[in-house]
Amino acid sequence: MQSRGLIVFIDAIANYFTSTTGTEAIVGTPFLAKDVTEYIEDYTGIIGISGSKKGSIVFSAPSRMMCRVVQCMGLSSTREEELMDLVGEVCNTVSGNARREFGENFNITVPITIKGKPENFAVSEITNIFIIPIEWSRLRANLIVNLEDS
Amino acid sequence: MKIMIVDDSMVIRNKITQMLKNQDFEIVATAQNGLEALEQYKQFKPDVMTLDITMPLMDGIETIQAIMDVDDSVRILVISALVDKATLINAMKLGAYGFLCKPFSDTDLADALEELVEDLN
Repeated sequence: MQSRGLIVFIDAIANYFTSTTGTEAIVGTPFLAKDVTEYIEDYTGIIGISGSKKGSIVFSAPSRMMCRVVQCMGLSSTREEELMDLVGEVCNTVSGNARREFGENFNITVPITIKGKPENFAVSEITNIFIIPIEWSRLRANLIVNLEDS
Repeated sequence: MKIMIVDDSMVIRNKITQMLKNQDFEIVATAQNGLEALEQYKQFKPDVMTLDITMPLMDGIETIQAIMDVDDSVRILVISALVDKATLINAMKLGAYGFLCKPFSDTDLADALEELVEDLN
């Protein structure tokens, strides 16, 4: 996937934070990475992609960021169950919004969520893995875009 | 007015529930997939539903079909991140009454629900 295809993901993640929390996120310049393990935070949501493109979309965020987002949504409970659910929902929303660019054949799975930082986190053997850094409320998360044409 | 909330995300179900507390809706059921929604629908007969599309076991499109086979009077507001025209048109053709894109604000949801029920009150 070429870097110009990332704009839809940058717009989607920025819109997510603005719409959901009322506070803008700062989305940094995407960069290429070979090993994504160092970009994995406390909670991670993973969506598999098939159809017109194949690969995955990963959103990984620290626990404190997910707690604050839940609170901004007007919800009082920030149990682990809610934080895991939220990280999957962010990933689902960003991936679903990408259909605006890629169309109805951009198929997304329901999210898988994981807690913690595995020693080796491999997304796939697709060459171009882009990291999109996000800063919100002085906390840092990462959107990992790992796609190629089918 | 009776409403049912269907979404596989607990946080989204809780957010919608929280938002509806100050409105004229009685939340009669929530469900996390289409199969649960169908069962709950038969039991509680809500007037209005909010419905996600991407869900495990039975997705939102299949759920609209299944519920319309039982009763086509329910008003379904699809709330989904899938923003392509084909999904929207398909949902509306099958019987959905409105469509709200994720992510959404409280105001977006309130406006969408108001439009959904404006001629029912």
